[in-house]
Amino acid sequence: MRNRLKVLRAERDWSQAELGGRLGVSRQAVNAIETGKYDPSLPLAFKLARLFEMLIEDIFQDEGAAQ
Amino acid sequence: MTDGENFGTAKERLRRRRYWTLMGLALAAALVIGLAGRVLGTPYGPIAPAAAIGLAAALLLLTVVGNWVYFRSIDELEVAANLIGGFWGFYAFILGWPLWHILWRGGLVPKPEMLPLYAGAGAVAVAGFLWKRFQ
Repeated sequence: MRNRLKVLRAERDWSQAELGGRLGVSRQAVNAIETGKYDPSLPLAFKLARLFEMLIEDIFQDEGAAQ
Repeated sequence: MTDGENFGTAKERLRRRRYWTLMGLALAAALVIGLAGRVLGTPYGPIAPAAAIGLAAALLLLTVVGNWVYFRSIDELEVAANLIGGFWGFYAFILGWPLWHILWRGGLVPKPEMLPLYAGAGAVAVAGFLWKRFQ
C-alpha cells in the first residue's frame, strides 16, 4: 500500500517523532508506515485522516486497485 | 501539555521514557527472582516448598501484571512485533522438541533437554520481535 505520509509530514515540518507523538505511536511505527513496511490498523488510519483533515483514501492508495 | 509546535515530540519522548523505565523494572524484577532462587539453593538443587511456592507465585504475578502494563504502553507496531515473536517462539518450542527427539532416535544428536529448548525458543521469539520491530 502506497501512502503520502512523508509528504504530508514534510509540509507541516514535522519529524517522525512529532507525528508519532501526535498519533500516540512510536517514531519507528511512523517510519514503518511511511516506508510501506507496516500497514496501519483502521483506527490508526482514521486518526491520521483526522489529524491531516483528509480522507483515508487521499492518504493511502491501494497499489492493486485499477488506476 | 499544550498543543505547541513540539507537542508530539515531547509526548513521544515521554512514551519512550515510560517504555524503557518499564523494561528496566522488568529486568530488575527478573534479576531479583533469579537471585532469590540462587540464594535459596543451588540452581538445580531442592528448595523449601514454601520458598518454591513463593518464587513461583512471584514469577507468575510479575509476568501477568508486567504484561498487562506493557501491552497498555506499547503501540500497534510493537503489538504486531510481539505477535510475530510469540508465533516464532511457539513453533520453535512445539516443533523443536519432536524434531530433536526424531534426530536423537536416529543417533544424530544427544538426548533432548528442556533448558536448551526453552532458551532456544526464547531466543527465536526475541529474534522474531526484533525483526518485525526494526525491519
